[in-house]
Amino acid sequence: MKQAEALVLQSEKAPALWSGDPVRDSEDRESLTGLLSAYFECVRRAVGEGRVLLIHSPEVPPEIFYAFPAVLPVLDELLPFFELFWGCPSGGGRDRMRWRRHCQNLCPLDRLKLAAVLSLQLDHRVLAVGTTSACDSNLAYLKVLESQCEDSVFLVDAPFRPDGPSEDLRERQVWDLVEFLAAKTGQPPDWSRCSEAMREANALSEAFLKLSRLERSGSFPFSNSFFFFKPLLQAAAASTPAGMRRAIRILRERIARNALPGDSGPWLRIGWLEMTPLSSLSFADLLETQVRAVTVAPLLPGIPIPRSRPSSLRELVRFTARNMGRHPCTRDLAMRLETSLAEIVQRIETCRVDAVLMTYQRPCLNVLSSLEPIEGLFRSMGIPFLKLQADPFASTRVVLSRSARLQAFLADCAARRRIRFSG
Amino acid sequence: MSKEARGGASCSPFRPHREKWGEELTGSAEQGSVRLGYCCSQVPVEIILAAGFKPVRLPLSSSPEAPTRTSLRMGGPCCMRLRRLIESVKSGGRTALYGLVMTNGCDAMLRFHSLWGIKLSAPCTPFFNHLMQIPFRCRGEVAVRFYHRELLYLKECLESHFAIEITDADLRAAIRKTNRIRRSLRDLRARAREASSRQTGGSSPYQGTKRILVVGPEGPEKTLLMSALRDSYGDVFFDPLGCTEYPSIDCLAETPGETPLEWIARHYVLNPGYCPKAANEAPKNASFARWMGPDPPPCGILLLTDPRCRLWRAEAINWEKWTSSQRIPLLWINGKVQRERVLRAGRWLDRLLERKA
Repeated sequence: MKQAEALVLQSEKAPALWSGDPVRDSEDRESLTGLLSAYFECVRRAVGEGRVLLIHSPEVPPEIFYAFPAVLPVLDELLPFFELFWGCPSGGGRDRMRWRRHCQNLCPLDRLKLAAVLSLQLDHRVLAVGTTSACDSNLAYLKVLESQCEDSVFLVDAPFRPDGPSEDLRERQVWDLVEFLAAKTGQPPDWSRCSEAMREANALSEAFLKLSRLERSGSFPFSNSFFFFKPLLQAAAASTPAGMRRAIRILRERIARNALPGDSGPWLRIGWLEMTPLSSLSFADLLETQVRAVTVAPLLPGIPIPRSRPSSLRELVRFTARNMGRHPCTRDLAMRLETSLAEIVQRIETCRVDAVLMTYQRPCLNVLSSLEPIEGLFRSMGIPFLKLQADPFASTRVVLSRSARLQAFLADCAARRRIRFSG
Repeated sequence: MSKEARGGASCSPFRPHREKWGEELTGSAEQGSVRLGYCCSQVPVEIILAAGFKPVRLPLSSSPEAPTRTSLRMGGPCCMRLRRLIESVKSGGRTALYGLVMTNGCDAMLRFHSLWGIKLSAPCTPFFNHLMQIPFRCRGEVAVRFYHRELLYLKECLESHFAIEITDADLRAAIRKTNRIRRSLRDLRARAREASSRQTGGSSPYQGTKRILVVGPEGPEKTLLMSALRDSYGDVFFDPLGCTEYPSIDCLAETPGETPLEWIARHYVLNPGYCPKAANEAPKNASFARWMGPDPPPCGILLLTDPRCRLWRAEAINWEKWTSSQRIPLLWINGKVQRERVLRAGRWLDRLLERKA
């Protein structure tokens, strides 16, 4: 119920479920909810055809999964939307969370992921793939899942150092993953499909790079920023490269339509530091009408783009292993805070933001322990900032109270901006 | 009971022996040699020893300092372990450390590594802050090569930071020293088993079937609770995971044609210590099974976890599944030591040991 309340701002705009071709035919896909529901319709059809759902974390590059026609890769960050768009039996997963005591200290997103996977398992075959480089909460969710559904979870050791031994270790792990998938699906990897997959992987990388450049090129309405658009892109990319290209085009058009020249005009330029995924969802409508967002979060260290398509499965495995060490990872805890802070400073100075909005979920312990240095940084720079605990699954009452704080903050920032311009 | 006494009390009958061996390992306290902290059973103490440092396992169970504002604000939200780690490192005087070697075993260690130098000041400069990456699930030659590379990197960092040279001879000497400790641990275990078979009782950790296995991460809460329970129930508690400063009691093998660093890498990868991040079925974990050995199963298991530690809380599922399949009673205490929890543990132990409160 709380989840439904929290997502109501977005879900009110959700169109009816798709009829016809969900990827090609509707203008409704220009909204986040439209594309998501199209995506889930694709997933529903694929599962209806007997394919195995493979839930994977973003640290695991998906191209290797395309070698197995029997599996359908689904990014675990999309799982919170399952209940809303697919109409999963809402209580199913939660009733199956018999090990509630073990899940109480997980973050809300991971609890929701667990509930969704357990719901899906009632009717479908589900596999899960994660890495040991994720946060403890994500690992704990996979451990709980592993205890509930034996032999359905594969964890990859993915060290960060980009040197030879690290790559060898990752490569060994990817081979183990290939064996795991072959054993689970009862089919060997299909090389011709691999080749096709590589093309899709290249398209995905290129699209993400484009998006990253676009997103950092200027200010634009809140719901067009990368974090908001990411699920859409991931969904589209998981369907077809054409879907991804279309999503990019939509984004480009919307940015061109809404971008403001320079830093003039009545709009506030708010540096947006979303420290945990989806934490700004509840305030999207409010922010979209009042501010232009500039993402200052240092989350995209670089996206590798392969120069040529591999000619064998071995090359694909090697590419995946290398990619796993460099893939942009929102939960990259090994990234030193010093590096993050330096990038935040650089972004703030480049974009000349009026204020910074930090949103985070209270249960994310890693964020909580790094809040103080980030606050200190903003104080030393003299930038007004608002620290907002924004659990996307909070009740409406909580969301309203936080919205009041946010409105007061925006009003204050607007007053400062007026004084600055008039002075 | 004073705080110091409670903090100093041991929950493991191995503790006195460990302290003795610790002295042998690190030299006597009077020597005042420089100390280097480490906080994971996968950190090779041999390299720290070979560099001429005294290895100190952190976080210390009883930190001499009161909780500071910094440790509460930064460590508190994450877990007690991180808070105690910050306090242990920041405490000066006799316990001053020259550095800390950590692994990516949990978020607390990664966060500490990340926060270092931004909000935390070092007790002595230049402070050596090193993060190792560990192969958790993969065991084999490729993991050995990876870990060997990490060891080389650690050695190079130690050499450049402290302007020292760590030779193969130093490493061999350190390996011989730690092997002596492992042999002693194995002897103790054999003697304890003999004592158990003779039913002599006393301070043996194997008093027939009346022994309680204690499981959970080391920390102040565990120390407090166990000292309270030991006051009433004596040495019925057996805590093998508390002895995992050395991942196994098997001696480190010297393989001809390989360097000492390669021996160390092979040993630590193939004989992993207990780690909730790596383990998927705790009681079947190789290191744990080696400690349990062929002894009769315990009559009960006491599982003590930090409510904020996500990995241990998830790991508790495996313990629950295993104990229910083995029909071993399990009491899981998840949280701070409070009067009612101690009483609950007491009632459970009374029932189990068939004695009156």
